[in-house]
This record gives sequence, C-alpha cells and structure tokens, in this order.
Amino acid sequence: MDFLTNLGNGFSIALNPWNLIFAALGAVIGTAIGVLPGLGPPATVALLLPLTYKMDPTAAIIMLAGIFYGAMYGGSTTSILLNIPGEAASVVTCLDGYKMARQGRAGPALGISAMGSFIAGTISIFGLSLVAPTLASFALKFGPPEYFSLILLGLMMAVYLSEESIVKGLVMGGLGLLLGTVGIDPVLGATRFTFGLSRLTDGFDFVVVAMGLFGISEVLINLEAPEVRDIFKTALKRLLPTLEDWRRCWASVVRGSLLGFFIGVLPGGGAIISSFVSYAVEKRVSKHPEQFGKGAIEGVAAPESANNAASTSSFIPLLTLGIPGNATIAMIFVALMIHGIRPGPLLIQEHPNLFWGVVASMYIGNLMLLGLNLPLIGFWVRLLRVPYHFLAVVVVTICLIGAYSVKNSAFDVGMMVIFGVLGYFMRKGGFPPAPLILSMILGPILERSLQQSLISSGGEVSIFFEKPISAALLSVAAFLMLTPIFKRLWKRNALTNSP
Amino acid sequence: MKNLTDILGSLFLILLGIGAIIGAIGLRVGTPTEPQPGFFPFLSGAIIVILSSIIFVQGWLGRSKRRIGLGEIKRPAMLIAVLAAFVAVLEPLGYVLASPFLIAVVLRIMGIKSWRALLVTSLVLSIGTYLLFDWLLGITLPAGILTRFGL
Amino acid sequence: MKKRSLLLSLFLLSLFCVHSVQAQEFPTKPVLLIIPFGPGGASDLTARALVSVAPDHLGQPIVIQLKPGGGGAIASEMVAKAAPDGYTLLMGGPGPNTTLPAIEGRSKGPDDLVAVCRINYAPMFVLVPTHAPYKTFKELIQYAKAHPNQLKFGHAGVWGGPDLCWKQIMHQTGITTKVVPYDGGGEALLGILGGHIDIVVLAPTQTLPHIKAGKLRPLAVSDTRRDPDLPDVPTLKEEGVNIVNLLWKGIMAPKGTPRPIIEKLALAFKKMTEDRSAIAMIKKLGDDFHYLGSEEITKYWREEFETHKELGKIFKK
Repeated sequence: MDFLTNLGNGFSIALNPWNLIFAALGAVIGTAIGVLPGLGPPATVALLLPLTYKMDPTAAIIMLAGIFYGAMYGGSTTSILLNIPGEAASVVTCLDGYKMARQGRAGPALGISAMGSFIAGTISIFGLSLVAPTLASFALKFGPPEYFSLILLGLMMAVYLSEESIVKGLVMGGLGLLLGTVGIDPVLGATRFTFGLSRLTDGFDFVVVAMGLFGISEVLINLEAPEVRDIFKTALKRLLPTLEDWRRCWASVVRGSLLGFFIGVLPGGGAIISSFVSYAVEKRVSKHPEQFGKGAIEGVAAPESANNAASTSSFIPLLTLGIPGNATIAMIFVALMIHGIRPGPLLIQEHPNLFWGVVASMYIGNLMLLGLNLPLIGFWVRLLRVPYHFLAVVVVTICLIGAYSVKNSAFDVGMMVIFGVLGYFMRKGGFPPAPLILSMILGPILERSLQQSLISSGGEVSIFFEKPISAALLSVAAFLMLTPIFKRLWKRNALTNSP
Repeated sequence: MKNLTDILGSLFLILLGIGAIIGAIGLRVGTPTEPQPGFFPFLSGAIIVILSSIIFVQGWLGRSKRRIGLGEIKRPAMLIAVLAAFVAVLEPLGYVLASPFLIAVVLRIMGIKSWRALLVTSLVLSIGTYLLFDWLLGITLPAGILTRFGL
Repeated sequence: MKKRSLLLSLFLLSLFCVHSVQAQEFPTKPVLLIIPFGPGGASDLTARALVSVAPDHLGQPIVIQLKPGGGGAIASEMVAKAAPDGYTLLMGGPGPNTTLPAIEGRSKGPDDLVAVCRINYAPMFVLVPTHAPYKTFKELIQYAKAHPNQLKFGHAGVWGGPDLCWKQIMHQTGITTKVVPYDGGGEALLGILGGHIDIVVLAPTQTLPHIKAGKLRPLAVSDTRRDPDLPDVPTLKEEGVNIVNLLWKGIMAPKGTPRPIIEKLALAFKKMTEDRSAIAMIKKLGDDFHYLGSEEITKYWREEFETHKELGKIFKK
C-alpha cells in the first residue's frame, strides 16, 4: 500500500521531537488567538513568519498549520461564551451555543464543539491524505456557474437561520446583499454607496459588522434590565456533554464533517458556506426543529464540525495546486516560498516528506488540541460566574480593539458602534442578524460568479442549467424554496378538511 | 392590535430599500443577461422593499406573534453616546488615555457605584488590554498624545 | 572660542539655508514608513527585509506602520498630508499611486507625492493553457482577430496591473476579448487551470510552478528585458506591441520635502538594497531588489500616470 507507507513515513517525521514541540506550540498559539478576537490567524501567521526563517521548512509549516486549525478550535469559545463570532465560519455557532451558555450549558456546548472538531478534523485529515489530488481536480471543475448555484443554494439556507419569522430572515438577507455591494463593483470598477468616503471603498469588514451586530448589541439589550448582574444560569450542571447529548448529535457531527470536508475544498467561501449549510441540514432533518435557535446542541455540533473539517480540507488546493484558498493559507504559501518551496502541482512529488510530515502532524495536532481544550472548559465556564457588568465591559473592550485592529483606524470602530445600534434595534424587532452577515459575505461572491458566468457565456442564462453540477444545485435550491409553500398549502388543506 | 415595532421597522427598511433602488438606477441597472453595477443593489433593494411591505401589512393587521415594547431605553442610549464619544477621542487622545474613562463610565451605567471598583477595574483592564494586544500581540493601538513624550 | 564659532556658524546656517542643515542633521529620530496594504503582503514583507538594515545605513531605525484600506488610498492620503520633513514615508506603487488617481481620481499620485526611489519591481507574463492552439503571442493575436470577442481574459481585480496590461494590449492590437472579473491572482489562476478562462496576465511568483509543471505557457513578458528565469519568453516589445507594464514598489514622500532630504533618503535606501543580509532576506521571498534613483523613477511614474489616464478615458464607460 503506497498510501500507508507514505503516511508511516509522515508519522516518523511528525513524531520527531522538534516537530512535536512545534505542533504543540502552533496548537497553543492557535487556541489563544482563536479565543482573542481582533488578531485573526492570517495576522498571527504574518507576525510569526520572520521566526520561521531559520526553521526547517517542515517544522515551520507544521507550526503555522497548527495555528490555523487551532484557531478554529478556539474560535467557537467567544461565540458560545460572549456571543462574539471570531470569524465568519462561527457566526452560526452563536445561535445555539450562546443560548446554551445562558441556560447554564456552556460546558456541554464547548465540549461538543471541541470533540466535534476533533472528530471532524480526523475525518477530514483522513480524507485529505486519501483523496487530495482527486478532490483538487473537482475544485478545478467548479467554475463560475457552479459557484453561483452553490452560493444561491447557500443563501436559500439562510431561511433556516431565523427562529421566528422567515420573512424577517429573508429581509435581513436582502439587507446583507445590499451592504455587500458597498465598495467597488467587480466589472467596471464603479464605486457604489461610498458617499465619497474612501474608507468605504473596501466595503464592510466582517469583524466590524459581526462585533457590532452580535457583541455590542447583546450588551445594549442586557442593559435594558434595571439590575444586570447575572444573565447566565450559574447552576452549572455538567462540564461535558451527556450520553443523551451524544445520542442526539453524533450524526450531526458526522454530517457536518462530511459537508465541511467537501465544501471546504472550494477556495473563497468554503468554510463559511459549509458551516451554515450543515446547520440548515440539521434543522431540516431534526425531529424537533423548533428547538433550533433556542439552545439545541446539534446546532453547535454540526457547524463546529463543519468549519473544522473545512479548515483542514482548505489545505488541499494549496498542497496540490499551489493556490491559496483563504488569507491564512496565503500566508502559509508565503512561508513555503521563504523556504524555497514553490507550492504547485508538483509539490507532493518534489517534497513528499514535507507533505506527508505535515499531514501526519495534523493527526497529532488535533489530538493535542483536544487535550488542550477539554481541560480549559472548566476555566471558561468559571469565567461566566464573573458578574455580568464586568463581563460586559470586557465584551465592549474586545469589540473596540477588534474593530480597530482590522485596519488600524478609528473609523472602523465608529462603524462597529453603528452596527451595534442597528443590531440592537434588529433584536427588538425580531430581525435575525445571522442571515445579514452571511449574505453580506457571500453576496459579492454571488455577484462576481454571476458576472463571470454571463460574460463568459455572452449573456446566455442557459449556462447555469447546462452544467450538471450547477443544474443539480439549482434544483435543490428550487426544491428548498418551494417546499415551505407546499407545506403551508398542505397544512391549510388539512385544516379545512378536518372537522 | 397593531404591532408598532413591526410597522416602524418595516417602514425604515422600505425607505432604505427605496434609497437603494434610486442609488442603483443612478449606477445603471442593466438587464439580467447584461448586469451593470446597479444590478445587485437594485435586486437587494427590491427584495427589501417587497418583503418589508409584507411585514408592514402583517404588523398593521396585528398578525405577527412577536410583541415587545420599546423597553428601558435610557441606559442603552447612554452607552451608545459613550461609545460615540470614545470613537471621537480615540485617535487624538490615544488608547491608554481614552479607555479608562470609557470603562469607568460603562461600569457606572451598569450600576457600579463604588469608586474604588471603578478606578481599579478601569485601570487594570485598560492597561492590561494595552499590554496584551500592543506589546504581546503586536496590534498597534493608537498612542495619541502620548507619542509627544516619546512613548 | 571654538565653541562660540561653532554656535555662530550653526546659527548662520540655520538662518540662511535651513534645508541643508536639516539634511545634514536628518534623521534625528526614527522614520515612519507607511505600508498601504495589510500584513503579510508583498509590500509588508519587502519593507521588513529593508528596514532590518535601516539603522546601519540611515543612522536611525525605520518604523513600519500598516494602514490598509481603499486600495491603498487611505495610506497615500495620509502621507500626502503629513509634514514634508522626510520622517513620514510611503511604500507606494502603481496600484494606489498611479491607477487610482489617474482613473478614479482618488488617492494621491505624482502631483501630490515625490518619489524617493524604486525598491523593486515585478514584470507580468501573458499566460495561456499549454494545450491551446496558439503557441506564440503573435499566434494568439491572430487567433483573437479571427475570433473576435470569443477568447476570455480573466483579470485579477478591475483596474489592477494585469487588467490594465491586457486592456493596453487590446487597445494597441485592436483585438477584442471578453474580460471576466476575478478577485485576485489566485482566483484567476484557478480559473485558467480549470479551463474557465483562456488568458491571464500574472506576476511570476505564483505562476512559475505551473509553467514548470507544463500546465501554462508564457507567451510574453511585460518587461523591457527577458526574465532571467524564463529566457525563452520574448518581451511584448519584441512581439511588436509597445508596452512596458511593471508592478513596482517605491518609497514616496509628501510633496515639498526638501531635495537634500530626498537625496539623503535615496542614498540610504540604495545602500539598504545593496546590503547582503537584506538581499538574503528578499531572495528567500522569491523576490529581489531593483533600486532605481529618484529622477528615473519619477520620469517612469509620470509616463505611467499619463498612460493610465488615457486608458481610463478609453475603457471607462
């Protein structure tokens, strides 16, 4: 077996004591920056690049990769504890994770996301080591029409992110699309809705919008109560998920992992789409969809597994094609270049030790992360016993620093406060923030892929139906769009027929 | 029973959507097969207007389930004002000088009355976050007027 | 006596030729170099390689500050507004300082900033899939003429270097192609490898492995000379189109910065780009230094500015 000898060889490299130390270092740094919003993985990797100049390339990549997937473990922590999504892929985790924390179930929420991430990571690495080249050619086949249909399908799923009114969820999706158009249009370079402010030409940054809509607005809402002391139930029953929890969500973890693995291969929005598509799938197959958004553990397990699996599979385009799929992977690309390795289609043949060493180190790194994160849960949960006004000040400070650090500008801090106020009124009116944020991020990709498809086809809309993958995705989207209507008609029929 | 929050919210959104449509027409909308820069803004504006109208009608007829009053608005408004002030002074004053005031005022709004608690928390938190982010993590926080003293 | 005459001469000097005194003393404090892009980008990494040796050649350290935003406009406007004393500099380039001011009327260009020197540059390659029917640049143009508006060119950002370079080619040769919008070089590369587009124009860093793997064929380079890594690829000029389009990085200062200070800075940067440890660092990044003095780069920059202005008039509908 070629694969086993390669992997065995990889493990012998990854188990080298220095490489083990660097994997552990990466895991620790990654967890820390995942927890601290404001310093995302790309910036951290950029900061650490000079340190890797003198390191062995395999050790360097092992450490940087550890930071990347370690941050995915840590990223869910602030979503669950403070309702601040550290990155776009953990927006969905806020929906049920934060609710669970307020019900005194922060421990199980953190536990399931750590264990789910571990399982997902392992499944995804296994997939990576087995079918990386095949999957890479699949990612290449994914052209503009396929992207368009996938993202359209993803945005349809946004319906499932609203707990009460579907219409309100859709309106927020529309608002997100609108906010996503702010900046420079991709075809002609026209500036849209910038009101003469050159700071708006880049559009809105995710961190600025998310920290405002989630973090700041949460504090504002809690201030309405005359005495804000404890908003978390402090009778913390258990620190880890129960057997009942596991029975409910093991299938969610597996489904999330698979979705994350496949969708995560796609450069661009892969991790984000997989996180909320997996949430939507869980809500749809669940026997009790009404519990979603109110603290359903599947709503944490599925997206957390998905985004972790996606973070692993997003290495595939880099390692097999030499194309960085997201900002962090782009920094790892630079790290490879520094060591004289040009990532490209020949990487696995030319540097097998690097490839298999890094892959094997991911198995080990995931195990380390599990060992690191499970004991931390007790600490995080105890943190929630701090009186809420102190916690609120911490939330406000973190949001301010996070927004400032995006572009080192006070303008962004101001924008974040404005989004905080908007989020506050949205909450009061029952308008869900998650569809807004997701369509704001995906809208520009949708627009670009639409333009790419139409310009390529010379304005022929049939391009979306002629390509099999695109056509299949569109039919699923149409099915999803139509079923709620049929369901309603069915219900009405049933009501009038029954006595 | 009319639902006031839904009516007000949907009216705001309808106006916003109309604004987007007007802006989109200024950018040129194009056709679905040959979209121009205004196409997406137009589409999103239209989605917002149509769906908000549904919310408006439902709110007017009192059909929607959710009913919440405006609630206690004073404290949130105070926090918003404080945050706005913080944004204004952040770059001229610098993070180390501006943040203790912000933190103290926020704690005061939250109902902390003990001056010692205010002083200790605000100083510890602002200096602590400065050291953590600026020194340890290398995020440049605005130094403001402290730069004049060569800090 | 000695002391007094020194003081007197200093006083006189400060009265009559303030600038030269400033230049002699300059720099007395660290110099701030503002990078208009985010961390980890080519500008950031190049600047870091440079400033590591700054104290040896300038006598003072250079502090890097990242001010991304508005495609580089935020940083450019900040530097243009700064005091013209040589202590605030910009790591500028054609994106924020030629194209934006020439075509969009935003950011700051050669009218508001002075070029101290060029640090380095990268040419761009016109690339097509290896299996395409055209094997040379001339064949590509013939094919495009025979099949008007059929070939698909993928740009890497509207009005970016590749986009402008291709539009220049279309304008000079009279061919027409579809221009498909792509977000960045990585996405465009994925597009051409997946067969969704026919032509890309990209810098060599990302594309070299694909050329070596036999997936992409470089047809021409936008430099004045052939690339040492790919000596068989002709320049655009050799292929009959008069285009030189380089992605350069240069040091810029606010307009009104005294000439002696500019010269002092330029000399210091020249020495930095010749410093062995700085060269070792930049080579590790797969890049190099290509220093060019203030006058030469100013001339190039001005010509580039006028060309972009003209292209903007032609292609901006």
